[in-house]
Amino acid sequence: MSKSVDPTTNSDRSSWRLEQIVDHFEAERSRNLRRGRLQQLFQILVVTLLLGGAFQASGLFSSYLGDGALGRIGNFLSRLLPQLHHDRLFEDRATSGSLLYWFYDLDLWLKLLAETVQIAIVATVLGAIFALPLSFLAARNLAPAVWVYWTVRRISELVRTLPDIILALILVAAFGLGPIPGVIALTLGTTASLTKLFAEANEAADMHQLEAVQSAGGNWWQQLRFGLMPQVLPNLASYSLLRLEINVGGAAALGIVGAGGIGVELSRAITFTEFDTYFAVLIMIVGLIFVLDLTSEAIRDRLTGLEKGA
Amino acid sequence: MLELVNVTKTYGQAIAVNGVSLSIPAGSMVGILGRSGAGKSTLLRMINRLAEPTSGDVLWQGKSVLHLRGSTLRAWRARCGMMFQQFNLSPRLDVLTNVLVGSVSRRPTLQTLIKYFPAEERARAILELHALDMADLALQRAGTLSGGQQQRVAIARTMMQLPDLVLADEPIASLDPANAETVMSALSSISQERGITVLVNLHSLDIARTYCPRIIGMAKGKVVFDGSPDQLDAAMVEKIYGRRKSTESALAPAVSTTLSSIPTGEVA
Repeated sequence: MSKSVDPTTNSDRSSWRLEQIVDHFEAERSRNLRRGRLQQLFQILVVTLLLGGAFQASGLFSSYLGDGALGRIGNFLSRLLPQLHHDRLFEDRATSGSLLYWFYDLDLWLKLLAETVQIAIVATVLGAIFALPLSFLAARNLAPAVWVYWTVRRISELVRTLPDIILALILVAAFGLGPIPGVIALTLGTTASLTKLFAEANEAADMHQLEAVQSAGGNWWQQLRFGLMPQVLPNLASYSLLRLEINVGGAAALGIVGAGGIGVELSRAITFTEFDTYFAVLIMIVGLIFVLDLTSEAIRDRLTGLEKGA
Repeated sequence: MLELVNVTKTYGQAIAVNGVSLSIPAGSMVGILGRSGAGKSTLLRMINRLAEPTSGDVLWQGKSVLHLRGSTLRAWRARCGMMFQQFNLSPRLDVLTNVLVGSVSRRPTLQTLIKYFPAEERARAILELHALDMADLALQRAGTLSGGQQQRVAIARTMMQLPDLVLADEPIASLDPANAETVMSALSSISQERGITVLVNLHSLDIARTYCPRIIGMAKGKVVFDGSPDQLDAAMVEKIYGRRKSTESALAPAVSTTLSSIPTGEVA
């Protein structure tokens, strides 16, 4: 390496020899690398300390669970499973050991499951409708003023920190038992989270397309309609479907606090220690979410396929 | 008549356009040449107020356009059709809707938001497309078209605005030569047949000479040349571009001949 390279006095590079240019670049590059490594080391140290503290606080490794804790779990698991009899599986619900005896309240559960899906759908649709205009205000590139952007973002964060179930608990106290408080709670949560997701899709949009509409004399709404919406619509639909899946799970839990849906059966089964009933209802919920996942995945694939255009 | 009076635009410390004064008679076709960063784009964008001049004035038919606000500003923008290097169509909308976007400033907002356009606007749109040999593709998604086709859609959209003026910001910079010719001759006939003033930013000297009776050269935010293609001699070209156009031949040997020769005297 030639000694003549002094990176501090690089005022006139035009007189440099080519080796000097290369050496200068290499020196700068290794300086950058050194700085990067130090930063990484520091970050690893901080994360390790934080993680260590968190594990310590959680007491996961140090707590004493009591004698025979494993035995208790085994006992619970065995009570979760139904008493089925292979030669009586398809008998009627009065026969102990049949499938229908296990799923003894199937009609009611199906009705409650349908209610759960309805709560989720209504909450998702309403949430998406409310979130759309809010997402324009919560997108840095579209908001009419910084304070609007800031306010909408902060409010959406505030609502998101409240779990749906807590919101529902409050609303049940206000509106009484039934699906209405459930729908309102989920709608609020959905609006807040979709506002954030939609806004981020908006921020990633190509602003040139809006500018073209602006240059044609279009106002703010027309710029959004013809410049933005065609770009982001597949994303928004995809986020909404994802949120629908989450909401079905959420709506299933809402019944626990009396806000409608299948959750009321879950909570009843636990209260009366009917663990096999609990398991039966759980299977139905998992099955429902599974079907929903497959459906919305198919729809999403179609939407993103369209996005690539053909 | 479009007049620019001592127009200046600064971004922080940087001066993009520096005291430009021009007057451009209605119906003329003007090519603007200059290196990237010479201020060509900013100049066009100040005319339709996508950028605000720091100082100076822009006048159309003797009236300043700098005080326009709200709906009068949008009406002025509609009278200045703008074209872009990357076309800036909505790729997921069909060609016809993209063209109809050119009429939104004349339509009630609510109607446009549900994509309602009356039959006569649709008819004008399809005829504009037909004039550019694009009517067959009217119902295709714009994103499926080639660059040359997309730029023709952009021309049709601009014509839907019923413009007095077309501001074309490097409309052929991402097109192949054949498509570039098509787009330039379309712009040329717009100017000649409809009497629309066309200002077009260009990179190619030859294209400018062929299509533009008047050429303006810009360097570092200032107008350094304003005249006919005949007056644009080698010395003038050097003034616009800062050096001769033979950069390609200077670069190749620097890579192949190992550490021995390098072009010194980088352009300041």
